[in-house]
Amino acid sequence: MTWVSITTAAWLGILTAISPCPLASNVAAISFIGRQLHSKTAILFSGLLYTAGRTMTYLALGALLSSGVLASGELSRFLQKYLNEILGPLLILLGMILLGLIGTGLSIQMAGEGIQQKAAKHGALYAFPLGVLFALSFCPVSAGLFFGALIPLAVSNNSSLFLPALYGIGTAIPVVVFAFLIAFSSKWLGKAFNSLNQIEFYVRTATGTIFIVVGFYYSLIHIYGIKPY
Amino acid sequence: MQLSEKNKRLITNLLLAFVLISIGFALGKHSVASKNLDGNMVAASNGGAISSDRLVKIFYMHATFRCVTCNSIESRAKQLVERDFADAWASKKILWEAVNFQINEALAKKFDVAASCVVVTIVQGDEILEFNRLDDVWPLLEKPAEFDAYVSDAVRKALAKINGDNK
Repeated sequence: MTWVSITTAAWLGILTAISPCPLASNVAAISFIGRQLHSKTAILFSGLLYTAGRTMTYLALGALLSSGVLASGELSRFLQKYLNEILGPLLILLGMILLGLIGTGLSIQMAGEGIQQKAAKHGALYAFPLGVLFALSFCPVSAGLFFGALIPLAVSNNSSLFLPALYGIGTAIPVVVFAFLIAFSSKWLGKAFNSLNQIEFYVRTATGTIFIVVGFYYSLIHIYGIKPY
Repeated sequence: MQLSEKNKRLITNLLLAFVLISIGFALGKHSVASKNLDGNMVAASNGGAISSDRLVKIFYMHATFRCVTCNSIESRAKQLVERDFADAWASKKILWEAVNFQINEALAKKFDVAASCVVVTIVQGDEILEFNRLDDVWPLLEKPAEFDAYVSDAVRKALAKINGDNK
């Protein structure tokens, strides 16, 4: 394996993250990771888990595809067809949980604790499944770069784990960096105006709202076939 | 700003209704689509240019959701073919068709499409004789000169084959 293939794999990941097509899910991820203004550790932990979720997903896909257990074309078409359709309603439900619209009643309590309370208390842990979910929701650019460029690169370099993992890290880095920037600028704003609690409330509300808006966007495009432009 | 309980309930119900309708719509869409699957969609569908000669047909395979990057791959490749192979284009030796691979699953399976891409084929009537799937349009997107050379080369090779065969 050469440095060229290592940097290419990471660059393909970054290219995927900064391209316009996964922008909606990236905005949701940024708001989710950066919403815990009270703790740098929580944001860092959340960012690391989100990165781990994405990385593990691409690593698993890379291993399955390189070993021939799954066929690239069939898997890609399946994920592009169904995952993006599931994502819309799912994000709306997650947004509703984050806003406390559902998940606080007795009927959907889990282990004596509402989902929203759990999300608030163990919020960072949810970054891992979020990373897995967003990694599996291939848009045309991520499908093209992963299945069309990264997998052939991994196969030709006999690296079914390392290069897909680097790609995964590459897709998460811009998201985590932006989450940090937004979180710290919001915190600075809160301190400057002596209203950190107020800012925290707005950030939490914005996160839930962003999830719902992104869920609508995915539903309208992928379920109802409405063209965005 | 806090919402009143009444407004909260109204928003919750509206959002849940949208979620349920969307899930129902998606399930219905897939059940209709699986009933309408047409086995003939694998045909080259030459759009009226019926010919017993071998022709080069270029398919641009895309998903239902067409992103900005995908549209630029399609327009760049199409403009290149129209410009660099103007004679063959004018004489309809080269044909172009954009196909949604999420609708035409038979063609997607035949070409083993994983993502939006350009596929250069040789067709005769409505039969696809051979194809070359150009996956590298994605990594080459940032390198316009190499992208053009890659697509041109594939089209040139296909044209050379049909010109040899048709003589």
